[in-house]
Amino acid sequence: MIVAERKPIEKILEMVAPYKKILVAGCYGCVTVCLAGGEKEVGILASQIRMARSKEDNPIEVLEQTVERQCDAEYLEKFRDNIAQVEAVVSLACGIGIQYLAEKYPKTPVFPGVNTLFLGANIDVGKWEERCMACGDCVLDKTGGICPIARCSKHLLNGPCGGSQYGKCEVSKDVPCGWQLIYDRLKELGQLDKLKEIIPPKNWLRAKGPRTLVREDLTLER
Amino acid sequence: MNRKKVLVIGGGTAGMTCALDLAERGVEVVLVEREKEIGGRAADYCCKATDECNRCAACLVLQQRDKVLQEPLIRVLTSAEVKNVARNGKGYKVSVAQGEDKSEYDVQAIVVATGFDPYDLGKRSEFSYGVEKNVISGLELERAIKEKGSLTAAFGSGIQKIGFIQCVGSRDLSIGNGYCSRVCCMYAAKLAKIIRSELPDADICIFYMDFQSFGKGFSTFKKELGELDKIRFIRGIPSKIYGFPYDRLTVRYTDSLEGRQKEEKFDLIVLSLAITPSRGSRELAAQLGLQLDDYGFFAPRSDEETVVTNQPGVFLAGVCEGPKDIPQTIGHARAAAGEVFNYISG
Amino acid sequence: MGENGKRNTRVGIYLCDCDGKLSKKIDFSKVKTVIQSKADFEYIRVAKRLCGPSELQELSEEIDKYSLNRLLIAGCSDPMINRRIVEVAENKGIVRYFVDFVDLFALSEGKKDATEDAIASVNETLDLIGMKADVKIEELDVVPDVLVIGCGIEGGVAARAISKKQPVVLIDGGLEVTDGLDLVKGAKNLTVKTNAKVLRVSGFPGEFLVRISENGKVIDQKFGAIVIALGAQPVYDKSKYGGVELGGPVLSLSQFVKSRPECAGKRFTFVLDKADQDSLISHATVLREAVALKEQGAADVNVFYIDMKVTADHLEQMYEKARSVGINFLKYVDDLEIRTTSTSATVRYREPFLPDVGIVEVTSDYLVLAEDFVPFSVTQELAEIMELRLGPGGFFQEDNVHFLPIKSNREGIFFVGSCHGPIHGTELTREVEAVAAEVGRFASGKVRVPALQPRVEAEKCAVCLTCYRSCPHKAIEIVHDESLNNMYHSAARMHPLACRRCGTCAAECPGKAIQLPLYTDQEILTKTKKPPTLVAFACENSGALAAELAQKLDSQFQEKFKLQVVRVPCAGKVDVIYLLKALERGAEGVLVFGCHQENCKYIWGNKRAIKRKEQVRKLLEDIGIERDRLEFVHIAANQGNQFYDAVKAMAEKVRQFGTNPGKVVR
Ligand SMILES: Cc1cc2nc3c(=O)[nH]c(=O)nc-3n(C[C@H](O)[C@H](O)[C@H](O)COP(=O)(O)OP(=O)(O)OC[C@H]3O[C@@H](n4cnc5c(N)ncnc54)[C@H](O)[C@@H]3O)c2cc1C
Ligand code: SF4
Ligand code: SF4
Ligand code: SF4
Ligand code: SF4
Ligand code: SF4
Ligand code: SF4
Repeated sequence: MIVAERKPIEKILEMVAPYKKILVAGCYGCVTVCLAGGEKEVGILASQIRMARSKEDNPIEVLEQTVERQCDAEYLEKFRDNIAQVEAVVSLACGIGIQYLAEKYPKTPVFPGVNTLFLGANIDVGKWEERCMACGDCVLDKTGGICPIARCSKHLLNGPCGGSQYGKCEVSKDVPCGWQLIYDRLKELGQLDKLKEIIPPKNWLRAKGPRTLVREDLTLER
Repeated sequence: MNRKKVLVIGGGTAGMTCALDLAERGVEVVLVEREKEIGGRAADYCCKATDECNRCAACLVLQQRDKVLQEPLIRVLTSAEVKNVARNGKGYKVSVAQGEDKSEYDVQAIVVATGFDPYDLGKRSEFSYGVEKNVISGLELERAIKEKGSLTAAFGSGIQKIGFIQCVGSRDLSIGNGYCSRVCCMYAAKLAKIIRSELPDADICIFYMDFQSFGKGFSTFKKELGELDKIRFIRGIPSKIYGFPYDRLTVRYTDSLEGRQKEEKFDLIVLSLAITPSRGSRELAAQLGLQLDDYGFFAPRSDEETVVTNQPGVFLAGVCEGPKDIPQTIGHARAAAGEVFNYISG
Repeated sequence: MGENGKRNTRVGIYLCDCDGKLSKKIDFSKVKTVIQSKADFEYIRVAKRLCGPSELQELSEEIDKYSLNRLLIAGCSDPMINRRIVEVAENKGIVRYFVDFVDLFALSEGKKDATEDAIASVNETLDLIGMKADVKIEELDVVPDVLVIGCGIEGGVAARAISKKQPVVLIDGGLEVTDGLDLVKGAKNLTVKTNAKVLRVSGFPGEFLVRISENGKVIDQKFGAIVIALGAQPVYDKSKYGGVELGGPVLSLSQFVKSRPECAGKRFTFVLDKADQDSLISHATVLREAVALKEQGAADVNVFYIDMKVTADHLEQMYEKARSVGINFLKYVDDLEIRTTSTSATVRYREPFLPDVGIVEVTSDYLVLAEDFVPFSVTQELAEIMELRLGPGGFFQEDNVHFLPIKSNREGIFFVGSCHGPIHGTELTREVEAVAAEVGRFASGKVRVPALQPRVEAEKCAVCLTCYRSCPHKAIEIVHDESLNNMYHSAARMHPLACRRCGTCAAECPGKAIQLPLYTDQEILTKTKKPPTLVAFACENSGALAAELAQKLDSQFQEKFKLQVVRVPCAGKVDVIYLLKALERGAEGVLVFGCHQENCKYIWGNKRAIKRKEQVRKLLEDIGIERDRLEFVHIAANQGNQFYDAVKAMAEKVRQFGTNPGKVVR
């Protein structure tokens, strides 16, 4: 799941400073699950903006709406009536949703209300941890199911580095060393020999621009 | 809808629990309380929380009262008295008087939940109760703190030395009360604790014979009371209290751990008075054909079935069957409700 | 979920004059005419005295005639009278939650003409009625069978009592304790499985699916309820006795009870209060055994103790008897010193009652030492499997008065006996009676409950599991059903028999998908549409009742501080949005009243509320509004003064702050 976090209010207030009527747009997808941009967060932000602006004697009207997913055009359609009424939109979806929303409503400024952080797992209420960096060439088969890119602070493909101490990463004693985890897991699996294999460098070059995923087997011909 | 109906006598914790439980099972309840308000003794107790709840359970009683008053299946009759009881098939025909008003009910079962009365302190002249205004009962301290909010608000700021005297009227064969009242060590300890949190410098002591445990974590609670809260535990029950000097109290006692007689001056003495059978128990027992135990509490049919009596269709709940704290009372009353339900649906 | 999309509410409005008392201040015909111009009700009339028998009868007939399913009664607020009206309504199938009252006396107090107030109040209540979620009385099928875990005495007693009314399966939970099996010999309706362990429990009260391994064979069986009666384990801890090892003349109390040595002419000494300090099991046992020894001719019986524990049936009498048959009770204060030889044991102690004598020695042929009671090791494992919470000492049960004596954090699962803290036999009897009554609700195979558990609007549910994880009572499941209208065809669902209706889930849901009937967001936000100076969200178990007491102290107190009290089922129901909205709408200060630490009826509702207070304080601070306009107060139902003081303090604080700058003027 995509994990995001609400932006500090000052930043958002700055973005909407010129406007008198805006829409706060939520998403029932990942950002609801990570408690950053669902209907409740929309309510919270809207309330906060209204109060802050009242305080400055510069009242603002804030509409609130949340749709299933902002990364699907069909759902974005639902915003049409409200967007027609406002001068700007603050989207609480992830970076994908925000961009897609902006793209669908090119005449209206769309601002990010959250910082999109990472792809992570929901450990418990209020806790998330990064697990994948969407590198596009997954090596989990070689690393005991533990991602060296997401879990190693230095994204080393052939670790560990010299900073691994007592199982912790040198960046902080609270961060487990990704490569120690990989070692432990492989040992448990009896696959330590996999460590001998050198993982070749990844091709990070974006010759083709931003990554897309097209699965010809699933696409719908119209 | 033809609902079953049950008479509950006594609107304390036990009576209210029973009534709520029965109502939840769709049974109509006539709840008869002789006082002006339901709630029983414990509705007057104070909260003993310090930085956390100290688990006295007093607040549960007010929660129940609120629920009872909202429950349409419970007909609450206050300032009321059961006048007549006559067997009517498996159930009873009862008449209830509320002042001049009389009403009759056909009920399928009766629950006795008449609770207790505090020990009559007038019988103990050596403690100067009723003579010295600062010799009070545990009940009075509970009520005063509940109503005024704190000890100081209730008794003024001059109170700096406080003594609790345990077992007044309990564990005393000389007066025929050969039983422990079970709750007084607990509430005295907890009251001492909140007084300590209000008055960090006061001298607080508890005169006792054997200090009774009150559940999980008791030993830690008691240890902290002594070591952290500096409550003095004095083993020995005072023999005499008198008003001297004129604005204070002198307590004479023998500390049995030191074997010496001593006198100490106090500002406030709290008597942890015994739980004794509710007045009118004898008459009620006669009216319903029930038996009383050696001390005058209602006797259950056997030690294994403490809510059932020798009269079919009459059940016991709460302290009227013997001393209990509030959670035990609630448990007992729920058991009674279950038995009642079985009886009336069988 | 809106039942069939649309709700069919048919409201009957009764304006009661209370025998002419109210028409002095209220022009009833005007109220009626104005209200009539509103469309959403079915029937309206002015009543002379609605609580009289003839009018009640009439009301009952009108409910049928106009097919009313909601009532709004404007008149007095006497709870006794209201109750009578509700009774009529319930007899006609209108559940109590759909009878609303408007207190005309209260709103006309101190006014000359209260007609407008009456109109406003009736209108508002009518709006609220329109928002109420439907609450049906549901009849649910339940499995009457009960699983009792623990074959010791406690489990045996419990199983025997329960089996009188419904089928019981008694298992030993993998322990080797089976001394309760004698108690259930010949009991009908009862199956015993030994060497049987619980592997998994899923489902909800009324229909738990339990996977049990019996001698290695795995079976799944359904139970309506589960009773844990594992007992506790006596453990000798030599560190409490200066390192004395058991053996020879030194026995632990349980060893002694199991195989009492030949006693004629022998000397015995028992030591209490070194171990097992929280219970009176050892005291009761020692009293019983000591008297028996003496009666069977023991030469000398001594009991060392600190406090003689007598808070159970018959114990004081037994103590009395023990003294009268000549048992020596020796109170000690300082440490004891124990010396043993192969045939005798000596206890040295300072005799407190004889200060001049100093150290005294007591030598006997047998020295019996009390043990501590600790939970069986399977406790932890069972707690994990069944998602049950443990309390002090690793015993079962939350350390919270709401759970005593037998409740667990889950409906349908109960504790009996020493598995939730060592208890004595007579208390066990009462616990068993109580648990039999609790599980007895399922004996007939059916239960009727009002469906008051929260509802989930699937369209908004992101299946994020927040509610599932935040529910203190494990009352939530995620269900999959093609008819659920979201991309997952899944949504959270609250179980009517498992849910205790705290509303925590509703306040936590990031999608605002959850609504608790009678306390929907819409209802609460409508109530606080025009907040006065102060708004207090008050838990019904504490703050709301304390507010009533405060009102008794000073009947003008709410007016004086311009305070609105909003009842919530638990502080955990108080949503961040309620707090922000109250301030946005112009309240100068907002208070949340919840129970004291460790007293929340729903375990952590108060803790959640405190977190949310902190969250909102931060949100306010970030936009330059005084954070202290929001406060959380721990309170109990009996603390009227404290409620008053907290409100007064907040009133004083906001007076100093001046006008709330965040108020949004429309
Ligand atoms: C000083 C003191 C402090 C205590 N503190 C605590 C504490 O902190 N925590 C705790 O758990 N327990 C405490 N207890 C114990 C607690 O009071 C009882 O457990 C509880 O009150 C028992 O409830 P009950 O309903 O059985 O009896 P009661 O509370 O006595 O209620 C009985 C009711 O029946 C009514 N009644 C009696 N006879 C009749 C009749 N003939 N007809 C109609 N109505 C009748 C009475 O008016 C009363 O309302 C304390 C006890 C004392 C004495
Ligand atoms: S817009 Fe972003 S947050 Fe919303 S569903 Fe799509 S990916 Fe998830
Ligand atoms: S290697 Fe790591 S970053 Fe790359 S896809 Fe796999 S998990 Fe994601
Ligand atoms: S009244 Fe007693 S149980 Fe209730 S909160 Fe206060 S201390 Fe705790
Ligand atoms: S509980 Fe304590 S004070 Fe009360 S009678 Fe028993 S020993 Fe005495
Ligand atoms: S918290 Fe709300 S969105 Fe999340 S699973 Fe529960 S109901 Fe669905
Ligand atoms: S209301 Fe409370 S008990 Fe019920 S499901 Fe929600 S959180 Fe659980």
